[in-house]
Order: sequence, then structure tokens, then C-alpha cells
Amino acid sequence: MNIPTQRQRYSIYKLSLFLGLVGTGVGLILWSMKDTIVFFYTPEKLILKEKKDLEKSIRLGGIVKEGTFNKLDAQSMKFHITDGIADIPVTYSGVLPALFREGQGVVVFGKYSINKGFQATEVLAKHDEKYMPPGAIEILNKKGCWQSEVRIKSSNKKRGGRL
Amino acid sequence: MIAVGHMSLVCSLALNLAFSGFLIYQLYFWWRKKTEMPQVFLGLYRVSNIVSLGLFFFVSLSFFILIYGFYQADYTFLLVSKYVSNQQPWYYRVSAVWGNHEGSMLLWVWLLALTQILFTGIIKKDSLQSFVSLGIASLVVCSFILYILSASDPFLAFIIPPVQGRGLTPLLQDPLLVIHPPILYFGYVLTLIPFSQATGFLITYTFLENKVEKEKAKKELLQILKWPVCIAWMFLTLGIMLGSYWAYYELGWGGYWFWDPVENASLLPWLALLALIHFRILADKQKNYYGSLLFTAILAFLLCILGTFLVRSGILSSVHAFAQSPERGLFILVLLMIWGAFSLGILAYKLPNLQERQLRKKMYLDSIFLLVGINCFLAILITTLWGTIYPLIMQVVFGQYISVGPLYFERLIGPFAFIGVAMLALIYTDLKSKMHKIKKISFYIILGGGLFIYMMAKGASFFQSASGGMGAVLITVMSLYCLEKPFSLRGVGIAIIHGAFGLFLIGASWDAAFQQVDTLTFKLYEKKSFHKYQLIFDKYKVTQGVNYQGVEVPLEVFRGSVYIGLLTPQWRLYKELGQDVQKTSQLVIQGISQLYVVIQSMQKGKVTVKVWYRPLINILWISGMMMILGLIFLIRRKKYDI
Repeated sequence: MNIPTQRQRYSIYKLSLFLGLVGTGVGLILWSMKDTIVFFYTPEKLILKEKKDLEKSIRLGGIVKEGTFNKLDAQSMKFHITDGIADIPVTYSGVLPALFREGQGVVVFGKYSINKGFQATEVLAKHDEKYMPPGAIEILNKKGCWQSEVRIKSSNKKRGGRL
Repeated sequence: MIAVGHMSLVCSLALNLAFSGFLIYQLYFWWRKKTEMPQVFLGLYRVSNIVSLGLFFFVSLSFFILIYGFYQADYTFLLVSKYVSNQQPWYYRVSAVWGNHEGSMLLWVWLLALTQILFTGIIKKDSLQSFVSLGIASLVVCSFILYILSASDPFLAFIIPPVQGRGLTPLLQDPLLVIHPPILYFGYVLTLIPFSQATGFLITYTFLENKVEKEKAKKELLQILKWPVCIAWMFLTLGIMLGSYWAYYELGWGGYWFWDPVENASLLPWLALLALIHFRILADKQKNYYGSLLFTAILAFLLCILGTFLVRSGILSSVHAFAQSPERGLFILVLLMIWGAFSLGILAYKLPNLQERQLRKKMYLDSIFLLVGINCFLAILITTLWGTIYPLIMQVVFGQYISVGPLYFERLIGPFAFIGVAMLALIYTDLKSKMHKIKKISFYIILGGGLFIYMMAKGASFFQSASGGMGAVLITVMSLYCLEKPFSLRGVGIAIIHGAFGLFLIGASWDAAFQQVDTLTFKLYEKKSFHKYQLIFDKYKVTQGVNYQGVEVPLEVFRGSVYIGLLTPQWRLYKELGQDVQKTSQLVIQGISQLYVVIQSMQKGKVTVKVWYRPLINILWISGMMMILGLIFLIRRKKYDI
């Protein structure tokens, strides 16, 4: 076996240092990502793919189904989120955002269990009334249950944005 | 009108393409035949001056035609009818030009043309490198004009114009729309100069025969990479700052930075430029690190295109998302790949020639610290980039929608920022002078540690207190540096820019640690207390704007019995759009803190508002302005200097 020269040894050190740094970096990123990622579901995906209770909090996006909004008491409320295929009952207690309406897009954050439905800790109606959660439009389009009124609203999404 | 606008854009494309072709032909010809160099260059210089002006003229013509169409609310433009309505005031009609995709791309190209003029103005008249760079720059401009003409034409016509347009989203009807996008875009497009100079340098460097010429070429590179880069950075800083302030008061979410993909997209080139500025200093001092310098110069521009792609592709759902049209996103992706492959390919191919065999030079201690600091910038850049594109990859490859929380960014960026600040402190503390060493270090410990302990005692988290302490150390370091050295404007400028970052750290961590938020429901004339303040709800007031009607909720703020001011959050209804918007209201307390209110809901005689107390938040904007103004002190009469 050849004894590495000074130069070779130097480059071996350099290489291993580089690989070590990159490895540490990737490790750090993966470690940090593990618990900060939030998955986004549509009702269909949640019901069909996840046939179990979810431990982690997730985001659920869809449209607040018309005529399902009920106040349970002064603080808490119940409504259904739909994407035209599946409905998921959501309970929430707290102040609703100003742009929360029936028939409008909404994103809720919280935990899902099959028996109790979705328990939201946070409700987001985006600042734009024409906001539709990502993916919802696609799925609605695919299944062909796209109401014309909703279509106009989503095509209006093209309007505006900042920057 | 529409046809003229379109034609002049076509003309500008033709002119610029012809110019690039001419440049390439001339340079190739010169290379083959080796004719008299100065003569060729003089001719080229004249031509490029004329062409740049001509390009600017044509692009300006079409840009101003578009602006005029918007100003006049001329609905024969398809674009105008989408984003303008009769009731909109004139300044929002004009700024609606860049409130949409096609118009903002035209603004982008107009600024690119302006950049090409600037570039022609600053290049050296007698070097091969500068003309090759100019050729590359003009090709880049061409590619973007081509993009406008093929994928996002703003000059589409209505044959039978409607009487009323659709109008601009109320969220965009804000004074900041007038200046935020042009400033940010100018910062973006100015990165074209370092990009093309770097690629031009790489292409021509191997043609140079003797050492004198090579040194000259390097010097020219460093010279060009100085001010355009600083100015680009300045505009980006200003643009990002305005944007975050806009988000702060417009969205009513109480934050100024959400790690939104588009915000990240503007942060990435900012970081790359920061690394570039410092690599330039390193290259100048050590006569080394040219490879890294060129890489960051190229990277900055590529990240700008990536940012455009992120915004325009419509893949991401964001505050900034414009039209969702896949072909546009694809076109920009192709542009990104072409220019990325071109520049990085040249870099990889030519880099071995750049590094001369030489003995390892002795590094100054300062330079080592600087190098570590720059690597921190790059680490932050990589972290942010990954956090931004990872959801995209997941979505495209696995069809799974995810979002990456702010915690990811804060947790990873924090440590790197700490190391960076530590390096900065080491560089600007003259450790060789034994006399003051102990005095200085005890100063740092007292001030930084004092703030750290104070914040911990008040209940801030370790991370926040540490940031605050770091900020205090940084300010101390910079002010001592400024006082200790014999007075120079340059020293003051450097101290202001870096000290502003320390100020920013203090403001941000203080605000994060001690902000208070509450949701209050008021009945008429009811008094509620919040933090140290008492809020009294007075009568509703109806307001009438040009194109909206609103209800104002006046809240009188008292502290004890002292009247402090009036908060006036609004709920506006934009009639012709059928949209409503909540306008936040801020009250500045003691010059640097704010009370911040947004209406949550209104019933008869009852109103629910969300109130924030944001201590020291104004320091953020002040420190941003300081970073920009500090650059003014660095202007020097001598042309070539760090």
C-alpha cells in the first residue's frame, strides 16, 4: 500500500471535513424539519387515506358547507368542511376570523379523530375572499362537481396579489 | 395604441438581439484576425451606447403606453379591464400596472433596460471582458422580453370594450403599492450586472496571455462588483423592509415576517448579495477566493429568477400568488435552467484555470473570521432555500401538501446568526492592543450579559434573550470601533450598517418576547383594560372613500388618567368588488412601541377587536433605514477601493 503524500493527506483531510460539515448540515435540517412540518389535507384525502386517528396536528382545507354552521354555546361552534366529495365535522371554540362565511374557503388547524371529528385550535380564512385552499380546486375540477358560482370565484383568484 | 405598445416591444427585442449578434460576431472576428484592438472597442462602445438608449426608448414607450392606458382607464386593453374600475383613484389606477402579472413583468423588463444603460455607462471602454459581459446582459434582457411577448403579453385588446372594469383587489389599494414593487424589482434586476460581469470574466480570462493583463482583468471585476452590488443590496433591503411593513399593517395578523415563500424568495438574493459584498472584500485583501466570489455573483441573479418562478408558477399558495398558469411557470423554469446551466457550466469549466498554482498564502486573522462569517450567510441561505422549495418538491413529486413552520427557520438560522455576530465582534475588536482588551471585553459582558439577564428575568425565552444580548454586544462593538479609530466617514458608515443589525436583533427579540395580544369585546362606551392601557369604545363613525364605504371604530386609549391617543380601525366595503377589508390601526407610544388593533367582528352595538401591544417594534424599521443610510458614508471619491 502506498503511503499518501503530504498533498494527498491534506486533500483527504479537506474532503472528510467537507463531508462532515455537509452531513451535519443535512442532519440538522432533517432534525429541524421533522416536527415543524404541517401536513395539509383535503376532506377526501383525510377520510379515504387516513383511516385512523392522527397524532400530529394537521391543516384541513375546504369550503364551509352551506347550512352546517351551528353555535353550540357562546364560544364554541360546529361546522362542516367539504370539498364536494367528503364532509368533515369541525368543532372550534374561539373567535372566528372576519372573513369566515358559509360557502367560502377556509383552512383549519388542529387534531383529527374518527369519532370526534376535527377539533380545530385555529381557523384561518385568508385575507382574500376568493381564497381557495390549495388542491381543493384541482380535486373539485377532477370530479366534475364544480359549481359554476364557485368557478367564477376561483377564477377571480387570478386577480391581484402583492409584490 | 395597443399595437404601438406591442410593436415597440418587438422592436426592442429585435434591436437587442441584433446587438448581441453583432457583438458576438465582432468579438469572434477580432479573435480570429487579431485586428487592432482599440479601434474595434471604440466602435463597439459607441454602438452599445446607442443600442442601450434605443432599447430603453422602445421599452419605455410600451411601458408608458400601458401606464397611460391604466391612467385613462382605457378598457380596450384587456389587462386594464381586469384590474381597473372607474371609481379607482388615479394613483391606484397607475400602480395597478404592477399589481398584476403581465404589467409587473413589463416593469421588470423596463428596469432591466435601465440596468443595461447603467451597465453600459460603467463598463471599461477598452477591455474584452466588459463587452462580453455586456453581450451576456443584453441576451438576458432579450430572454425576458421574449418571455413577455410569448407567455404574458400585456397588450391584448378587447374589440368591444366594457364600460366598467373589474377593479383591483382592495388589499392592494394601498399607498405602498405605488413604491414597494418598483423598488424591490430594481434591487432584483440590478443583480444582472454582477451576473453578467462574472460570466464575462470567466469567458475571457483564459484568453489573456500575460500576468499583467490577468491582474488587470481581476481588478476590473472587483471594481464592477462594488457599487452596483451595494446599490442592488440597498434597494433589496428597502424593498423587503417596505414589504414587511406592508404585511404588518395590512394583513392584520400582527406579524411582519411569515416565512412566506415569496418573502423567502426576496431574502435569498439579499443573503447572496451580502455574501458577495463580503467575498469581494476577501478577494481584494487575500487575492484569493475568486471562485467563491464569482459563484455568489452568479447565484444572486439565479435566485432572483428562482424567486420570480416561485411567485409566477402558481404552484405555491401565498399572499403573493398571481395568476395560476402553468405555461408561464414552465417558461420561467426553462429560463432559469438555461441561464443556470450556462453560467454554472462556465464556472465549473473555467474554474481550474482561475486558480493559479501558488503557495498557500498566509491568511490574516481578520480574513479567517470574515470567511467564517460569510459561510454563515451561505448556511442561512441554504436553510431558507430548502425550507422554501421542499414543500414544492413534496407537492410535485408526492402530491402531498405540506407547509414548513416558522420554527424550522428560526431554529436553524438562529445559531448561524449567532456565529456570524460573534465573528463580526471579533473582526472589529482590535485584540492586539493589550491596553484596552480587558476594558473592552468587560464592557461587552456587562452590556450584553446585562440585557440577557434582564430579558431572562422578565420572562423571555433563552433564545430571545440571547438574541437581545448579542444585539447589545454588537452595538457596543461597533460604537467602540467608531470612537476608537481616528475619525473617518467610512468607519462611521461601517459602524452604522453593522450596528443597525444589532439594533434589529434587540428590536425583534424584544418584540417577540414581550408582545401582548388579547381579543376584547366592547359594548358602546365600555371601558376595558389591556396591558397597561385602558381602551374606551366611542361611537361608530361612517367613513366614505372614493370607491369604498367604511365603518370606523374609534377607541380612545388612556394610561391611568392620561389620554394617549385614538385608535381607528376600519371595516371597509368595496362595493363594486363586493369585498370587505379590515384596516388595522396603530398608535405609536413613546416613539418606538405600538398598539395595534384590527376588527374581528361587529354586531349591533357590540364590536370585537384584536389588540396587540408591540414593544420596540419601530426599532425594526429604524434599523432598516440605518442600514441603507449607512451606505452613503461609504461613498468615496477614489474609484477603486474596498
